[in-house]
Amino acid sequence: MTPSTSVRDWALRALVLGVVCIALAYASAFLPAPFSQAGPWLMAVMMPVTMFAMMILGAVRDVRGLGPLAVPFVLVLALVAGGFLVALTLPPESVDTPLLLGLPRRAAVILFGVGLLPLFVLPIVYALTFDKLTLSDEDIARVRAARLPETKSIGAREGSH
Amino acid sequence: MQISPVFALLQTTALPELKQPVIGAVAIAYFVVVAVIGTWAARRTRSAADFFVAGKGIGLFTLAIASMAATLSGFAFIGGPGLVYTVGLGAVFIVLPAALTNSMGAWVMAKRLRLLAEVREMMTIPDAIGARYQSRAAQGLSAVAIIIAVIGYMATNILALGLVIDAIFAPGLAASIWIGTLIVLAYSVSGGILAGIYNDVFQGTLMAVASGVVFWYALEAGGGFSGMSRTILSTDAGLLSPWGKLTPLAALSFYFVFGLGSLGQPHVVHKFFMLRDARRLKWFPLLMTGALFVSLLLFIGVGLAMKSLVLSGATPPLRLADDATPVFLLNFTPVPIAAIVFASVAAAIMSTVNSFMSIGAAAFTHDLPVAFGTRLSNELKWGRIWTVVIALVSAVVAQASGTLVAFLGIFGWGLFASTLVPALAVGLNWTGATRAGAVSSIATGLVITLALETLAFQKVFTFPSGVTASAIALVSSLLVFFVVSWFTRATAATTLSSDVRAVMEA
Repeated sequence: MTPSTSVRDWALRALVLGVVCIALAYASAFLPAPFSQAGPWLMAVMMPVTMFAMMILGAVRDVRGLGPLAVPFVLVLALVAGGFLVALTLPPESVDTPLLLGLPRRAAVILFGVGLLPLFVLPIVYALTFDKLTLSDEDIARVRAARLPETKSIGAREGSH
Repeated sequence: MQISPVFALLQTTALPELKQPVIGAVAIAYFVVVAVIGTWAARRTRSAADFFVAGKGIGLFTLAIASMAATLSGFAFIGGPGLVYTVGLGAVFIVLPAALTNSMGAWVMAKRLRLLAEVREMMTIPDAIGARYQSRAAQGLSAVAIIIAVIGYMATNILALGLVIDAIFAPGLAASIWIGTLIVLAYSVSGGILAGIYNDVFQGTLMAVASGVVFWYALEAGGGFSGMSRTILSTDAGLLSPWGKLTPLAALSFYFVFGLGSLGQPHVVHKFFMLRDARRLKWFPLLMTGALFVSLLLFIGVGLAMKSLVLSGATPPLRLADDATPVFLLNFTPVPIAAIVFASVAAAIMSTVNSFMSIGAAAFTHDLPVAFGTRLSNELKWGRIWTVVIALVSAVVAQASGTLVAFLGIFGWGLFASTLVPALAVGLNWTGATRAGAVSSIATGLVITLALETLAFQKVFTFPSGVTASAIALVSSLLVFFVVSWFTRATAATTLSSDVRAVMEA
């Protein structure tokens, strides 16, 4: 088993586990307390896990694995899941709630931490690692070389009515 | 408070009257620009590939702005701020996933779909599903799901466009619906997606500029975030809870459905086929995220500003939540700015409608015949015919304004997500997925979405807060996809052709 196969397998397991936990979170809403109170906590952790598992499945390469993408992925996952958990944990707002960047603390954590901070981190990481980890000219050449004989004339057919 | 994720996207109530000379003039100027772009594109549309995938010749900027414009409907400008006004920050969970979705879409979908177009003749998303599983059944079933979702979604968008035109020019709602339909139809049927794409660039730019400017006015009117927060906290602190008036599960459910569900929106992801050079994807997430971020500022800013202004007595309470943006624009921004935003609302709706027309017509013209083992001899001609048919049917349905149209619109996002995310997004990144898994998951998404939405609409039962038909359908179709693929795993290798495997391993 290569390192990338291992990463891919773990991502797939995390994806399946995440979807099962999200299903349980929804199921908990049909149950009385205290079971129903567990739903948001399960969602807060496993929903980001599901989305990042999906992202890892897309990003992992057979030869190169996740490489330097692992660090930003883990950091942003922690930021998003941590933000949700902080919002669930901190006390509710009142008239004299202190403001953080103009918003009550919990709202600021969600809006700026979960919503704003990752907004440009992942796109910049994507761009910076694109040539090495996502798609090179050699990758495209390899894919083109894999065209099946019956689709070799694809360029000619595309123009037909 | 219980709100269906998709129901929240609908715009079915009348807007305040906007009949002012400047607003009318800007709207007319906007429609003229749209017509000019449509005419230009029509002259360049010579083949089915031009009509459905813009000749696979668009650049990065065009792709990013067009994707953003197709993603946002008029909801971002009218319904969204209204929802923030009503439920507070909980509504923000609809747009919050944008922090992840563009990058996730790039890693999971963009490269795979664009590379598929290198080895196969790709015109539609069902084409990609058919190629991935070598299955005409999977291609046909996904086309059926797209057709059902498109008709319902288009009817709601055309109704929304009619409401905007009626508010500006006041010819009556019925006439406005037909005027709006004919305008979009004119450029869609002549120039296809090529006209749509370049109109999207114009419309998306307008939306971003309008949103950014109005956000600045919203902050000024409300006294900045601090001023708005202090006013709202003193009266109704719950609105500024991170979940607003929603339960935590309901808010998080928004994040899930709109986050993961974004991978299954065919009117957005099929644009990846159109990029001229696959290597230009490098800057796609950054550009798309930037455009989306600016375009969504109005969503948050106006909703909070209006709530703060109403609570402080600076403006009377709103008649309807959806009046938040129109009332704010008419009272707190210069008329030319208001006029540009109203044109942007029309732009947001029209760009979405055009994309739906394109994928719907492609499903009828291309995917269904392919599913039955044939190809139409002149796909360009039939594409134009089906574009007209879909538009007319949707306009007729939209005339039945009210709950029927709202009900049909419910299916859109949820149906796309539950039928396409497992088979397409997971399937293109997991070689263990099987044909049986794909067909089962698409069928599951289709049946559960239609059944649960119908039963919920008829009030046969009520979901607990936070649980929605869209979410249950998405989770169920994913689980069915994994379970059936696992049980049929012995067939996984046989459903994967060597060229598609090369794409998945690239």
